[in-house]
Amino acid sequence: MKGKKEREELSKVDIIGNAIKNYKELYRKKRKLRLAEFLILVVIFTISPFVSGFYFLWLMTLGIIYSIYTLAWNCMETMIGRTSLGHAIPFGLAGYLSAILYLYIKNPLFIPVTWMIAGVLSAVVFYILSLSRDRVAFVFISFLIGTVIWILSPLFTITLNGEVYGGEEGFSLPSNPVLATYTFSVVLLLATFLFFGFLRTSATGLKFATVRDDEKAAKLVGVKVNKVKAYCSLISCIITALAGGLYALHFSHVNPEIFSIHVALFPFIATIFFKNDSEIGVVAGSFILVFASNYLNSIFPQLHLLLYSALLILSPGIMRWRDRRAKLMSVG
Amino acid sequence: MALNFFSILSSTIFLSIFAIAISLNFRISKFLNLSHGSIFALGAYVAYYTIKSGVIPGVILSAIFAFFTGVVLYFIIKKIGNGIFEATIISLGFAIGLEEILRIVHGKGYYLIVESSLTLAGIDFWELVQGLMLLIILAILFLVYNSKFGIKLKFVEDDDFLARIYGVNYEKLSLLCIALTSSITGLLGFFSSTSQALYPGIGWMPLISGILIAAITALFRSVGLIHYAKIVLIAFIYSLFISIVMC
Repeated sequence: MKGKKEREELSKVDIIGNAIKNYKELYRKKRKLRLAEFLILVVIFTISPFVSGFYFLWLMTLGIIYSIYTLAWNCMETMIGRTSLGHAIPFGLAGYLSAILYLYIKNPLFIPVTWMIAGVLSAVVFYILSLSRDRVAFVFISFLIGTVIWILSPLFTITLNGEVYGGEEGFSLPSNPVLATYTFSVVLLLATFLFFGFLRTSATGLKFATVRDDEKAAKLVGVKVNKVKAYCSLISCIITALAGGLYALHFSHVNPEIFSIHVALFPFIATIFFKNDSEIGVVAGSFILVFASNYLNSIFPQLHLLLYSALLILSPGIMRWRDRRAKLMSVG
Repeated sequence: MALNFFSILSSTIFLSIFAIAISLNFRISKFLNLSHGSIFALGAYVAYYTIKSGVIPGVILSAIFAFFTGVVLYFIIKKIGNGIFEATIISLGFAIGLEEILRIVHGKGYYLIVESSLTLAGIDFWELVQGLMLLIILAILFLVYNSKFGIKLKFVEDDDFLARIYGVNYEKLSLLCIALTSSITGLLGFFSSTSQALYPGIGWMPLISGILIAAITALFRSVGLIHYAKIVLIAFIYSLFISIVMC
């Protein structure tokens, strides 16, 4: 009787208050976890240059660049529910635009401006595509646009002072020390990691998640859905373009392969095994894929694409297993 | 540069066949089959090995290879995939796998089939064969859509779930559709292998053009044979547009 009375006394306001309190506590814990993960990454990336040789550092830099790319791609996937198979567009466009600018003005200082331009241009495309509620159509159209650019990019040439640049060969960029690219990449990765980690556990992140879960319901509770889509597209494309720019600088060269389907599919494959809302999982997935690809490539050129193929074919099964496991763990 | 009518016609025929295969797959098997490009490449490589020893065995071999590739894809999708997105992703993985196997076997280089060109009334023999192939496909579609079986097909195109409830053997239809459309693209690869350099990624461009044509035609929401006739018309406009741009 006493318990029943107590339950009755507990008003609806109290129930909501308790729920908010619990959520706040949960998100505080999540933020602490993100901070711990961030510190682990800081330690790993600080030690790496001192304990590794040239090649390992070069590979680490590649892993970091791909991690930034995957984190940025993941933003579209987990915040507005749009799986993009065309993120090679901002990635490759940044590389191409910076190489073309360098060809004309030979001043590397202006290169980052082209990355921003590539990011904004791509964001406009992805924003327009995301306006439709049809999420499967988004996947198909982004894939189509990306593939068309990949196929047409070898036809793009520039004639300067009687010499032809571009085509299948691509464009060159100034060569720079690996340590410099490594440092820039680490700073960008850590900033991106922290940004997404805290965004996801903030009130703004929750608003974004409502758009992912149900656009109509999000609109009903006052979330400006189109604004959220615009922000997400912009954030995702600009960070992807920065990663693409660093990728071009890392190789000191860009060619049509930067737009290839394999680059476009990388983030999708890297996140197959790990839960998408875990930034550390995304980074770990990218590193594992880069190192595994490199190992397979050393056995036979482009053998890693067979791994991509197998993972893509098995991806629906793996994702279902991953989600079941995550559910069981959360229940536990 | 003047527009070449024969080249536009040839491109229309080629793209129509490709787009019909993609569209049939999408409307009946309910997913975007991205492996058609690689199956096209497979057909072309079969031609490389068999064309010298006889055209007929080569044609039969390429159709059989492509058919069984389609069957394998169907069973993988049935086992793992669920829904349009998953099936499409599986077909993409399958396409990359097939392309990489071709690359591992043949390397990155380009292959050319050196063959004495056979012409009939100034038109390349293989282009005539492709034209004949399109006519046969349209004739078969006409016969099928005007038969009892065609009613089942239209039912599946409209709502596969409802069709299953009413007793249509959807799985059988889907398997047949994937395997037969794979055979079509495999044969197309065989017939067009003499007119271009062969490499494992040869199928991406026709695949993308085929998807674009099929998608534009789908906007008209036609059903049955009219839909496929419209594909031919859109393929013609597409080829004309590309020729004007190239000029």
